[in-house]
Amino acid sequence: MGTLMEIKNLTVRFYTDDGVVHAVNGISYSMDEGDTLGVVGESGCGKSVHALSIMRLIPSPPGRIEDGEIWFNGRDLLKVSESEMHKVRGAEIAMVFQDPMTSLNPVYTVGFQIMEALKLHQGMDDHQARERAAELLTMVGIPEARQRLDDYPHQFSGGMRQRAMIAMALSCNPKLLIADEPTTALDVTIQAQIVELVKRLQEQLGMAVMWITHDLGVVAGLAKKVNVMYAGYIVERGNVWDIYKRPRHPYTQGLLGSLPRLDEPPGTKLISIPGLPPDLIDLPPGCPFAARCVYAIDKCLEAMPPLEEADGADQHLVACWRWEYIAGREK
Amino acid sequence: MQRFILRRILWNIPVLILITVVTFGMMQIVPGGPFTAGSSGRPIPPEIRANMMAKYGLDKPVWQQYLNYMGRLILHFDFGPSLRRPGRTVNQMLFGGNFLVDVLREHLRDEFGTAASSMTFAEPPSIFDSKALVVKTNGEPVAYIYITWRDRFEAVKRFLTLAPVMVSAQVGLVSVTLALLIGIPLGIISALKQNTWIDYVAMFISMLGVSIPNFILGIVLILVFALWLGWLPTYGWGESWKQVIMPAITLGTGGMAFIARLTRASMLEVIRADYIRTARAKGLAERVVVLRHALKNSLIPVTTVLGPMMAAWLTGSFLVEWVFSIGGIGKFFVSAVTDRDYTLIMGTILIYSVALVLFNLAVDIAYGFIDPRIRFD
Repeated sequence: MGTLMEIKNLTVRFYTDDGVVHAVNGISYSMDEGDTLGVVGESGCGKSVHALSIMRLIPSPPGRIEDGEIWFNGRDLLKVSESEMHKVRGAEIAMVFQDPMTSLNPVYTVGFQIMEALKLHQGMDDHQARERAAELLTMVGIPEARQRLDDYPHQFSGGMRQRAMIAMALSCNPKLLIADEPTTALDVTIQAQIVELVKRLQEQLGMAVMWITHDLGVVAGLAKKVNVMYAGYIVERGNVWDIYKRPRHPYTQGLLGSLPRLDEPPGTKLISIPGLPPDLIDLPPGCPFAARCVYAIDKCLEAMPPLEEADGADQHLVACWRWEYIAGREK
Repeated sequence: MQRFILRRILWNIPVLILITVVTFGMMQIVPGGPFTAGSSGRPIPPEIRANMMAKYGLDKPVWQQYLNYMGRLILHFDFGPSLRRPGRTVNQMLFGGNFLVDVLREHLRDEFGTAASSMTFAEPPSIFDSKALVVKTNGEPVAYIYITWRDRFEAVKRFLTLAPVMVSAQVGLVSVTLALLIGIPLGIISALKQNTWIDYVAMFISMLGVSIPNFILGIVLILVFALWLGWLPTYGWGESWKQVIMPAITLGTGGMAFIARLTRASMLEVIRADYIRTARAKGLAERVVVLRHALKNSLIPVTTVLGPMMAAWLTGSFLVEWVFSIGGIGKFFVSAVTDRDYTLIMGTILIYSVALVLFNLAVDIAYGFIDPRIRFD
């Protein structure tokens, strides 16, 4: 399978009154066609900002994409014109957002909002767009789709709205679907349904999916590859199996250690990562995790480690000066 | 929807009745009365005052006066005689009287020449009648005059163009339109260009607009455009489009500035909403995002203020009508009270109340169209 998207050295900053927020700090990675990538990290680690940057949707001002290239389908999205970008958004790359309660426009019907993209990108007339919108709603599992087209968002439940959002995102057969914490605002059973839905649709339609979340459980069940982000850096990247089985970055280890596990005896204490993530306005020069890291040495405070291959495993990358030491200790 | 409107109208009837009760009572409580002082300001002798009070029925108990007034109003749509302007009725002062009479008199003049001046109508003609009996001043019948559709149309046309209440409404309507046409785009632009010089200029203009009292603005406009430049007439209404410009600007500027600030504030909130991001993520052009997805939502607060604003503006502005010598009803809102012209006070208050009720109803109906979350039942 070919490469769908390649991001090189993406750097995004926000120029606020309090100072410059270093939201994304030179991340690089690539995604294959039909791939499923999980992007995990805690709030404010830059995972959503980097996704919005791919769509060129970060609010500007104050946000600015300082540097980098985003190669998608043979062109650098950061270089194309705004009108060219309109043809990418919704058509080639679609996005589903975190809060379905506020992501649909309350004053237009759900059908209208789905049809809008169809008419724009596929040149459909009202009738065709309506037919297709009904099909899409059926596809995402909304019963009596044809009648529900004329409903307003407030007449939909949270889960149904997120399904409608997914239908809208998939309406023009995008090559990449970016799901930005699409299940965070939903309760657990609905979360599972949405995850299953996206999995099924991905199998049907073959698009690539980027699933941004802080829920490692969701990623394990869905993604093939995982980017672990921290303070605007990718600190570890690899196949989901490698990441979960042999996490090499102390942050990833901390994240996984903080998860409750069914295969551990009851009463086992969860490990928490001490301290707080660094202030993105005033980033330390070295590894941003060093201040919270039990393995940190002087070098960690001085220079950011490069993202390099760990274990010699296929495409397992880690940005840590000490990963070999840590790995050795475990044995 | 129809049930909602009907229910609201019915609900407003007791509200209006309560307003008449309160106004009627408050007029009596306020010290002084219509005949406390003559037009020269000298006190009227008690005997004469007693006669005048008796003539207008003001010597009766207040509840009886109220019932008499309401009876005439409801049965005959008669607001009564003006207490301070002898020979004038409140209907004439507010509604310009019966325009059908004027139309039919013109016919009589064509028919009878100068003799027509000694003729009158047995009963005031109404546009719902098919004919009117013409009599001489001594009561001797002369002829029937038939009322044609053309006469009715002409009478309605004159009412809409000439009646003081309609003149005020015209001034108000033009001003509201101006305020909306400039205020909303100004608000949108400054929100979209937030914290740029465009925003600062727009908000500076609207700050000026809110702060400058409209009589100062009117006088400055007259000075510049009428006296110095000589482009526009200094006064009047209804004869030339040039007469519209300055009153509309004078009355409209304050509201325009207010609407601009309101639109900006609400646009700033809406443009950051998640659904706007969704619309952009769909690939819609920024123009479509703003005009289709943001504007409708951001107009909800503007719609809210539009009800009371239109009620206030369409019932006439004392200052604007005074500065530009416009024959509307705005001046009565002040003079009726200072004169203790009870019937005129009731007339103006009722017109204002009805306008307030109707425009607020219109706003509520408009909400339903803008925001589907607002249910009618």
